[in-house]
Amino acid sequence: MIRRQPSLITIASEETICFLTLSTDGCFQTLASLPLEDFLEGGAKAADLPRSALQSVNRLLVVPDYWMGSRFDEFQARNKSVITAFIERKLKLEQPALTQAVDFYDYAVIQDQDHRQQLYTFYLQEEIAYRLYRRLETLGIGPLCITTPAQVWQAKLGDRVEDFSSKGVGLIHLIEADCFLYFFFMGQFLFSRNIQIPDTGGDASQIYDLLNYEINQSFYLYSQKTKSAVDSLFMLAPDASAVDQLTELLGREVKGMPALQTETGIADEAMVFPSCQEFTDLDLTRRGEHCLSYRPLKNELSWRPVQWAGIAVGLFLAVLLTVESGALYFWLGSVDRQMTELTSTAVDPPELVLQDISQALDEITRELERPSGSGTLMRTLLAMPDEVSVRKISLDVSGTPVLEMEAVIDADHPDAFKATLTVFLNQLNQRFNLKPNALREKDVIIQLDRSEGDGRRPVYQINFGFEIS
Amino acid sequence: MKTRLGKKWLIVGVIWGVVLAMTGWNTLLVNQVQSRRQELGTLRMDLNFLQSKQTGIQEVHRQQFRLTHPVKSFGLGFLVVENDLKRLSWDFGLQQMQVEADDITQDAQSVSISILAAGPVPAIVGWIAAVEDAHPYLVIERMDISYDKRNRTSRLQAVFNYRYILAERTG
Repeated sequence: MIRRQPSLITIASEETICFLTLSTDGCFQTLASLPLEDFLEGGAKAADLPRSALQSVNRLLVVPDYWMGSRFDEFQARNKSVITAFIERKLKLEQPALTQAVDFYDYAVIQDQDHRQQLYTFYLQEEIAYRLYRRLETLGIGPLCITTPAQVWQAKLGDRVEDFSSKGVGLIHLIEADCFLYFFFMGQFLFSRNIQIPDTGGDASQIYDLLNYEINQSFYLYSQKTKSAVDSLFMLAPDASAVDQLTELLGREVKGMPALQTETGIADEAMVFPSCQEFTDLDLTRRGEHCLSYRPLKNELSWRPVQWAGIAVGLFLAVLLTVESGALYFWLGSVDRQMTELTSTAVDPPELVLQDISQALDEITRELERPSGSGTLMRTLLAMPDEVSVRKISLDVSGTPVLEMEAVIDADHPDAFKATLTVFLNQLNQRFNLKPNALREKDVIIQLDRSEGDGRRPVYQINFGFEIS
Repeated sequence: MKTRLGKKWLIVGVIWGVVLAMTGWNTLLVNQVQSRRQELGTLRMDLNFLQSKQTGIQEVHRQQFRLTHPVKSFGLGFLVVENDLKRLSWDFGLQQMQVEADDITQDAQSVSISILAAGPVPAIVGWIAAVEDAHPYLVIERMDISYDKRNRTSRLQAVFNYRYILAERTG
């Protein structure tokens, strides 16, 4: 079984770092809560963290809003490499002290109200943030994403507020002892403020007066930064009447925040992070663009789909090839069995039998090609005209078959001899099929012997030989 | 995390290595199966051929068998051959038949036999034809037929190659 690694969420404040895990019932459980400085200095050793935390995948690190800086730049290009080169150059130029910022930034390309392309860059701007990342990385739980409460709210508002990405939005998050003000421009986080609520002894009007003042200050700051006003102002407070009170004091509409799902909110132990109190497991586990990753890690993570595709396709092919291999072995075995069955029925191997037959046929053919002694004699005798008498016939078939012959021709005069010789040679050529190397008169040795006969009539002796094909 | 990603690349590499190795192995197996199937097809064709041509094959072997004289010893075989040749010479009216064998060597399976005889040419031709027909293991290597004018007869001087095989059982 492949066991999915548990997810770890890390929340850090100026003083504390807290490690949360999501239990099977969907609730967060605190695994450890440590003093941040101790943790960074190594005072809190790896042993202080539960084994389960060290074996988890740290999916998200939530850091205070002010650890993250941001900027808007008018920028026309859309090419990724051009944009990253521009951002890195800007960061080096304008934040020369933040040498590591080039590894901890992300960006979004947006269109402003005048349809001009804006480049929104956000980056870690506190040295402590880099130290925290390195420390977590050393422990083997380097976070995949780094975000801030403001960016989590950005994601939540983006889901709930109509035209969030095209207008200025403010959020007042009032809790017992703190009030957080978040301001967003064109769907991107602009700045936030944390207002400590003083103890007024039950007089709420003092609190609202303070908030009125601080919010107006923030409106002014907002208009200075964006050259525009806040279009919508939302409020999330434990007391519903606070919305009306502030609407009256500010002289503009303050909308109550739509209902939030808080049943799976972070554990009570994490209440040291008041800005995160309203966050649910969904807020902290969703994958969005409202967080940044360590750039080298992000580059590597971008290969993860390729890795999974490689593993999946590779395993699929391996399974297919295994099945194919099994089938091939089965066929091979089947063919071998059939061959064994067939060869076991035969007395001798067929190839040996065929070889024997081939040799026998060769031998028989060789014998048939040899000229027969009687046949050669018969053909010679049948080719002889009556005027020809044999003196000697020699047949040698030890090498190339050769027939040699001595004979006499009974003729009254040379013309008759010549005619008889021509007939004889023609007959021999025909009967021995000597056409390619036909016997001719020039091949015959002719001798005239007057010692034989009555002395007046000559005896023509002929002597010749030829190859029998 | 970087280590995990590195391990994943390793896993990808190992899996694809296995895939490549199995592809090569399966290619070999496919070739092997094809080769064996061809062998099986050839074997089937050979067996079918041998079964369907059984009579012809037997005839080929019979013909081949006739080209060699199975004998228990060369002496016994030569005696038979000499006897047969002389008997045939009487049948064809040849005279003065002499049959002589050359020296044989160990393991020799053929011996030259010299023959001398006298008689009319047609008788000589008939005798040679009868020998070739009845004794295929006697093959003419050389022959001379000359006419003896004084005795008015023809003389045959021939060398036959006698092919024999030593066998315990002879037909």
